[in-house]
Amino acid sequence: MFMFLLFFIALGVVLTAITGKDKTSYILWAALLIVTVLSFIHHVTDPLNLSF
Amino acid sequence: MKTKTHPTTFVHLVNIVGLLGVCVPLVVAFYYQLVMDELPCPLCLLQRIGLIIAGFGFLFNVYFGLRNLHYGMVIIGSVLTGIMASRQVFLHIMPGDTGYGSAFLGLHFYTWSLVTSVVIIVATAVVLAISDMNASIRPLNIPPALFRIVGWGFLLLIAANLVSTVLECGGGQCADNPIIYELLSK
Repeated sequence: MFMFLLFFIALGVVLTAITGKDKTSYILWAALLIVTVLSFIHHVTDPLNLSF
Repeated sequence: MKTKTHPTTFVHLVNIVGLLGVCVPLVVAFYYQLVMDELPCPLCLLQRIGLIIAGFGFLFNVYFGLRNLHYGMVIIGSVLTGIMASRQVFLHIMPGDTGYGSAFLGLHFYTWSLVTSVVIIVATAVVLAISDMNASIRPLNIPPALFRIVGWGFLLLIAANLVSTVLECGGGQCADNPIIYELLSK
């Protein structure tokens, strides 16, 4: 996963928020959330040898 | 900026403090990265993004006006950060494991990330509880310049993270245990 993409989208969110484009900010925020979750799933590779 | 058309109150000020509170761990992480030369792992970067996602909720409250949707965004970001931090805590929880990176006040930074996310959720619950009183609270008339400074400061922090991540990982995947900036080593 391209890690810089997350910060790139985040930069888009803050720029659109500062310029007052609320709908675009919300859409980009949702996109950032989805890409972050997918990136986290991609990086969860080592099995945890724990029992609860 | 939409806040110019609405009187600003104590709750707006609390949201500014919340956003600054989110910025503190990001600045501390940057200090350790730049001064102590500890490069962040992929999970560490994901936790930074989780905090930024939570911080956007506070930023939206400041710029677009107070809405429950924005508090929901703060909680979603904090829960996500907490899940990612817990994952890293569990990776290093076994006896004999020295953990990843250096510790601050006896706790590693992923543990602090978990603590921070819980604190943000609790703080949001308190702010939500006092938000109903917002209408009866006297307007504070916070200068709009303060909103702009906080917003641009947050932007600067995100831009700095973007630059450092590009330098560390290039255009692809980050190393699991990074020790050099990939782009600077070529």
